[in-house]
Amino acid sequence: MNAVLRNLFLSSALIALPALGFVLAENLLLPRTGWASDSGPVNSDLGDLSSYRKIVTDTQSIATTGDLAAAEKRITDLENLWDQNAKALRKAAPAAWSTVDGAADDAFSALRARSPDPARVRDTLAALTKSLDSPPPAASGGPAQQVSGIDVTDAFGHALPCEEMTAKLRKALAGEIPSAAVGDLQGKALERCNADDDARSDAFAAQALSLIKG
Amino acid sequence: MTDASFADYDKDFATTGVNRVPDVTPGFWLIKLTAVTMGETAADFLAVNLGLGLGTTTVLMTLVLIGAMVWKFRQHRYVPARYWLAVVMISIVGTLITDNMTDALGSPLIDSTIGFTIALGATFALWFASERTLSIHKVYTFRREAFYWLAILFTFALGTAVGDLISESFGVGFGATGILFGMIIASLALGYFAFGLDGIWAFWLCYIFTRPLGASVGDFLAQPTEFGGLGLGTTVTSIAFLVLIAGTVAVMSLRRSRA
Repeated sequence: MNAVLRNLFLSSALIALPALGFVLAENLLLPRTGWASDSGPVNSDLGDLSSYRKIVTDTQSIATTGDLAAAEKRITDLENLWDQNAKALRKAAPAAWSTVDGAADDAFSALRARSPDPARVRDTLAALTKSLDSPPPAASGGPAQQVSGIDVTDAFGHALPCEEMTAKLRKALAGEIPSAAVGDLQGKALERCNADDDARSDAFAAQALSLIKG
Repeated sequence: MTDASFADYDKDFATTGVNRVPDVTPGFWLIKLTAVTMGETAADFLAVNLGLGLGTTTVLMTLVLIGAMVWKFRQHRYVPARYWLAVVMISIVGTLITDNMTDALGSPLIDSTIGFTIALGATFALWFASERTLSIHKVYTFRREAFYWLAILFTFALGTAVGDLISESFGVGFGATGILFGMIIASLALGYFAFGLDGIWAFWLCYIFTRPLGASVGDFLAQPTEFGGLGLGTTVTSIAFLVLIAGTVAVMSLRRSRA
C-alpha cells in the first residue's frame, strides 16, 4: 500500500503545482484581463457612440409626435449602421455590444409591432439611450451584470453556467416553436455553450429570454 | 513504461500471451491527441452543424461505437485500424455523455467530475481485484481488455468534465485552458522520468488530461476568429484530423506488416 500512497501524493503534487502556478499567474500578473483573455482588453467600451445616440434622440422626438411609422423609419437607420459595424463593435467589447444590441432589438420590436404601444416604444427607447450612454464593462471583475434586463453573471461578475441559461430558455419556450429571431438566438446560445464560451452564450440566451417576455 | 509495483502480483496469472493493446510510444500519444481533438469537433459538428441535436447524435454514435468495439474484440491482438477507430468513437461518445449530463440532464459539472472520478476508481479497483494487475502491457484476455476499454471510456468522460469545469470556473477561454493542461501533462511526464512516478499512474493521468488539452486545440482551430480561434470551422478541422489519424494509422499498419 505504501507504493499506492506514494504515487497518490506524488501525482497530486505534480498536478497541483502547475495548477497553483496557473491560478497565481491569473490573479497576480493579469489582475483584470484574465477572465476574457480571448477577447482583448476587458474594460474597453464601444468607443464613440454619438452617431447612434443622435438617431435614437431623433427617433424619440419623432415618436413623441405620435408618428410611430416615421419613428420606425428613422430607427431603421440605426439598425443599418449598427449591423454594418457589428463585427468590429462586438470584437471590441462583447458584453457591452450584447447589452446595446439587446436594447436595440427591444426598441425595434416595439416599433415594429402590428399596433405599436406608445408607452412601450418610449420605455424601450429610453432603455436604449441608457445602454448607449453607459455600456457596461465588457467582462467580469465587477458586480453582477445584465443583458436585456436579465442577470448573466453571479454577484461577483462571473458568467452564469450557460447550461443553466439555455435550460431556462428551453423552459421558457415550454415546447412551443420559437419565433425566427428567438430560434436564431437560441441556436447561437447553444453553439457558444458547446464551445464552452459561457459569457457570449449567456448574452444570446438573455436576449432570447427578453424577446419571449417582451 | 514500467509497472514495477504491480509486477509481483502477476506471477500466478496469465503471464504469456499477445498484448491486445498498443505499446505507449510518442506515436501513441500523437494519435491519442488528434483523436480527442477530432472527437470534440466531430461531436459539435454532428450536434450543432448538422442539427441532429444532442439526443439523436448520442444514440447514433453509441451504435457506431458498439459496432467498432465488436470489430475490435473479434481480433485477439492489436490491429492499428481497429484499435484507433474504437478510440475515436469512444472519444466522440465520451464527449457526448458529458454534454448530455450537463445540457440535457442539467447536472452540474462538479457532480459529473466527482461521479466519473468514482466510476474510474471503481473500474481500477475491480480490474485489480479480478486480475491482480493493472498492466497495460499484459492485456491478454477478454476480461482484461474489457476493463481496459471501460477505463478509457471513463477517462474521456472525466477529462471532458474536468476541462469544461476549469474553463467555466476560470472563464479563461480555450487558449489559457490549453496552456494549463499542457503544463499539467508536462509536470506528470517530469514526475515519471525524474521522480519515479509509477508508469501505470502516469499513463492513466496523462490519458485523462490529454482529453481537455485536445479539446482546447480543437476549439482553437475551429472557432471563428472573432472568438479567438483560427476560424477553420468544425467541418474542416474534423476532416483534417481524420485524414491525419488515418494517415498515421496507415503508416503504423504498413510498418507492422513489414516487421
